[in-house]
Amino acid sequence: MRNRKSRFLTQFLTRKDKMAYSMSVAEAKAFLRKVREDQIRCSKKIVDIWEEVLVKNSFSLGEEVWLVYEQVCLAALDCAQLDIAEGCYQALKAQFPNSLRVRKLEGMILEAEEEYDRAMAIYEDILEKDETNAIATKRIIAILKAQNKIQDAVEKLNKYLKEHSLDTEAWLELCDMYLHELDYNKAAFCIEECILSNPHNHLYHQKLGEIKYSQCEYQEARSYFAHAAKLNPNNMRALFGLHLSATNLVSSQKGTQKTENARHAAWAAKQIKDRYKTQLGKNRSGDVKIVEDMLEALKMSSS
Amino acid sequence: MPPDVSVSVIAYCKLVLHLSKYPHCAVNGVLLAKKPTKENRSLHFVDVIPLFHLALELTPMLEVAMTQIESYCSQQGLIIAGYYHAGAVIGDPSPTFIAKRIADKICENLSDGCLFMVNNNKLKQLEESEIYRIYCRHDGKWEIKDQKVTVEEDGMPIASALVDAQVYDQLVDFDNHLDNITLDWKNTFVQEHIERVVPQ
Repeated sequence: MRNRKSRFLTQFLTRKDKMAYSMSVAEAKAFLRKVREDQIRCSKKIVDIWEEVLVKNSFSLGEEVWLVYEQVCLAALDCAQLDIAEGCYQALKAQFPNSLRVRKLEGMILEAEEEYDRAMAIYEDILEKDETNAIATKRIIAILKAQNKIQDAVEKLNKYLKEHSLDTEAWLELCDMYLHELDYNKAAFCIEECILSNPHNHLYHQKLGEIKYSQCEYQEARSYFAHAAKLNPNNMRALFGLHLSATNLVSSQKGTQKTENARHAAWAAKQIKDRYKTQLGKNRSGDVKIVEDMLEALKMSSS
Repeated sequence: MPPDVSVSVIAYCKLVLHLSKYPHCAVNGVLLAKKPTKENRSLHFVDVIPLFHLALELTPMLEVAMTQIESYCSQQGLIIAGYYHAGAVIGDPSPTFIAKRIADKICENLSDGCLFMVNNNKLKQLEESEIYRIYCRHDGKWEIKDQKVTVEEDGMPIASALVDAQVYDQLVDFDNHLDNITLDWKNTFVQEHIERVVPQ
């Protein structure tokens, strides 16, 4: 068993070497900058590029090096490579000994080591110096979440949102916490807040549709899904949701409402089928058949 | 007595890869088995379909996924016979309300259906022990199944090797599929990766 295992590993390690990034320093710099600006979470790649391309050329980064240190530090924490995170943090601390932004990294390293009390003390200290520091508050909420103290996290996040009611990221987080607690009404309220500040984002309408559907409120679900599909006709969750909620309404309704909803369901079914057919093509007709069977099965269950 | 359970290498690998692709999220999925017979009730899980990592508590896309998977199963002579669930945080892996409800649903079709609760702590030592605890329904309650080994031989070291090679980047769950329907939730590529590492 042991021998076999080591054989797998050698095979993989040789292949892994071939995967190494053959990037120039300029390309690596440009890549990291793009990821930083677009806020893409691809931590493993960031750490690999740092180690393979940039670490020996860090002098060529100029003033940008500090931003890269911070970026790599966070990415390394994501990958549980604490030695790299620590190295970046030390470099930043030497350069900016009084920076709260650097202090936060120290807290996050402690979090990764599950030293929650010490991390908490650092964030509280940051808040003492700068009481509006949103990131420190969010880290404290993250610690409560990691410790499975969801009620405390909910309370803290609600308090934060009283002062930062336009922070949609925070509303979404609170929504997920309420969903975790199966409190669908409060979760719906959080998404409504997001819709108020971004009325044209199809994802919020879709998510509210999903929440309403989970509460068996099909009428409301249908209208949110329909709105999401109108804002983005390629949102598959919205099309499926529209189909499901209309189909459910058909089975409980009579008269004109019933025919109306049957029409909505048929329309959504056609949209879904068309998208699968054009995007999957002839080679995957088996997969298209699965979707057609599924739509048929849902139709049967409603009639 | 609940029947014996065995999990194929490919099913185990797909489950582990799904967890490894989203280490910061709660994830879930279903396990497919060959249809058991009256004479032989034992469950051999041959495949896994990863479901979600975004929101496990919402039902509409779960309905969409389950209906599609059911129609796939009837084509292949398989049955949805298990459900796996991993929480977002490290800690107590006892069955959550949602996990039990979805697993109950599976038992409506197959009374021997199993619930696999993942212990996130075990992800650190993939080669050493199975990462889940299995629960079976008994008198309307979910009880721990007393069976230590379920994965076929070499399943654990192979899963660990696939994680080392970052094969999880390519794994597709149903959330990925709904974002881009050309991505295939059957994940047939995993089989090729396993064949490449296992000396035939």
